[in-house]
Amino acid sequence: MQFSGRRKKLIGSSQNDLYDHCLQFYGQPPLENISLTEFETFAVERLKLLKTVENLGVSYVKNSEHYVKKLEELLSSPTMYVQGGTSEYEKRRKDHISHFILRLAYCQTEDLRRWFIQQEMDLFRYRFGDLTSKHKTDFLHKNNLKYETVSAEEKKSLKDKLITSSYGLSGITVEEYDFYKVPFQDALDLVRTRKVYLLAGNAYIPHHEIVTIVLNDFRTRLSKALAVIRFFYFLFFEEIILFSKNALSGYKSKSFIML
Amino acid sequence: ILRYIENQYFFNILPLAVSKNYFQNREFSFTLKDGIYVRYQSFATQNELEKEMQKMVPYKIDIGAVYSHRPSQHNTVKSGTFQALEKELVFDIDMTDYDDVRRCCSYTDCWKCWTLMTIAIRILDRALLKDFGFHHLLWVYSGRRGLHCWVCDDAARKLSVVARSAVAEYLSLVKGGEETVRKVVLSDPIHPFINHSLSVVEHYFQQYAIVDQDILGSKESVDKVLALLPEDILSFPDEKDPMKQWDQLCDLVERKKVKYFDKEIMLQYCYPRLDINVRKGVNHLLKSPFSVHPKTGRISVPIDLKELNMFDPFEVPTISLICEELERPRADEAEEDDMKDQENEQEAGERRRIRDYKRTSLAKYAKVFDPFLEAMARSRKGEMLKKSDLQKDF
Repeated sequence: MQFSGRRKKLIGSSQNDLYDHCLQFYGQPPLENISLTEFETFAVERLKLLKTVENLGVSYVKNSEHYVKKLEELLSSPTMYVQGGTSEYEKRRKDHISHFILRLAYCQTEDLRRWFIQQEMDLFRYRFGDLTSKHKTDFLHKNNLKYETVSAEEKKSLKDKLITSSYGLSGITVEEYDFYKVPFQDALDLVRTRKVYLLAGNAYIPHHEIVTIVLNDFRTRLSKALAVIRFFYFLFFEEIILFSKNALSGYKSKSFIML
Repeated sequence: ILRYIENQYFFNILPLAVSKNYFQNREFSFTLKDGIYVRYQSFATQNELEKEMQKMVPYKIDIGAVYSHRPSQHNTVKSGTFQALEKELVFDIDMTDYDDVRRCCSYTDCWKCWTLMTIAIRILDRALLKDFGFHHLLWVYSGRRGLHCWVCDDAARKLSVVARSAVAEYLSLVKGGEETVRKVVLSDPIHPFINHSLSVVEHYFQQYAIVDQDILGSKESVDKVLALLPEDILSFPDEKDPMKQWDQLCDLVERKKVKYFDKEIMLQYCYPRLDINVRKGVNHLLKSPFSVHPKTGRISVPIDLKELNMFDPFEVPTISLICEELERPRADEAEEDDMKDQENEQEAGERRRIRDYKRTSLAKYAKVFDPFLEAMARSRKGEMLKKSDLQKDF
């Protein structure tokens, strides 16, 4: 009794450590063993999700109100894998593992990679935008993007300068929006085009632009990772992929036909 | 004579090179007599550099980047691994880049256009310090008709090529080559940096452009200005006094609500034009401060920003002046003999060198240079203390 009780406790804490945020950069591959069934299910469901994201991006202007609303609806519907009565831990684990399985499937050609990166980025952008302000900052800090939010007093004192340096900002939005202080070296595109306020080596980035910076980081990391997997692909993964091919051949998707 | 110069130079400039870390991996280039250019020079110690200078007597010394290996051995290193690691961020501003908006002189020097350099320093210095947060800036007169700016912060030295280019873009407002007529285009919203720059330009514009450059003084030059205005403004208001003409033009622009044309004109005539070299990245070498300009003989001295308005390029000492000053008999020879007994030969030699350059007109420029070096040394000490503190934490 004691023994199993202790074990439960251990599992609980390692769960918390592994997935301490609902969002991640997928930096570490999963290290556990999973069943073939889980493997199949996870892969297929994530693929469904990415296809949904793709379709929405075609039917609506990306990031418009409609798009965001629709995506929210679809992601919360019971058929979508993200919900479905599982614990937060289960959701995150599934997110983690399914992403990595699809990496294997989509690293092969330039077209596949591009498609995969695009949908993953769109999904990530939505999920990041959906986070609360505190969770956003948490995410940044946990991923070594040590960007602080600008305090309300500082925003007030710099209000005019912030308005004239970024597009689409007014007095109200400056007060309501979060601004992040980012070292200018991490925001070169905005610096180069002078679309951001610079002070003492920091760029004052409004909330909607921080997403761009984070997304750039996301894209770079994913791109690199896919290139690495591609390199090792033929050495290690052929068996796995052959298996996936068979298991997933029932699912009609142009991407999988290429497999 | 040149030997004296080497010594003065060596003593002044070396601290700068040394305080720019990793002296052994720093690239120098020498321009020798007859224009022979030698790259990839590197030295293990200051003494080595001095000896080489005395041996080869370079006419010009350029400073390059700090590399991954000793530049003098770059041919022995596996290709691809020899790389530039750090390089100061430098800006090169030359009067010839303003030729399309100046009428005062072409290849000769004149005092009328130096204001452009003053404007450049005021705008860029503020931006580099306040916007980008750099601390260690050295502005150096190029010897003839231009300026160099050395940004020596750690952060600046480590900037990637992409980052350097982004900094240069942020600071650029005048774009386009010979084919482009209207080189400055402003649109809403006006970024705070542009506003700061405009206030500097506006301060100098009337005296510099209307009076000194007389841009409304001849039909030809008036046409050039008109070319920058919208098509429905065909001529300048009728007025004898060019100042009033300009004022009336500004009113006209405001009335017609053609936005920022008057500001664009001011910027096109006055805003700093950065040399494209800064985009060449980390392999590029720039002339060392305190070197001699081959055509004018003037020394590339640091500029004192506190006395910027009084800086006169024609008063910068030439090499011949310095030599003359050095030839003059020393006033304190007795003192020197006393000291000789107490120190060894090398130290005495160094002290002599210190006293030597202080006797010349270079002394006042050394007074600008020294605080700059001290500030860098202090900040380096601070960094090292921080690092060692961090290491002590377990």
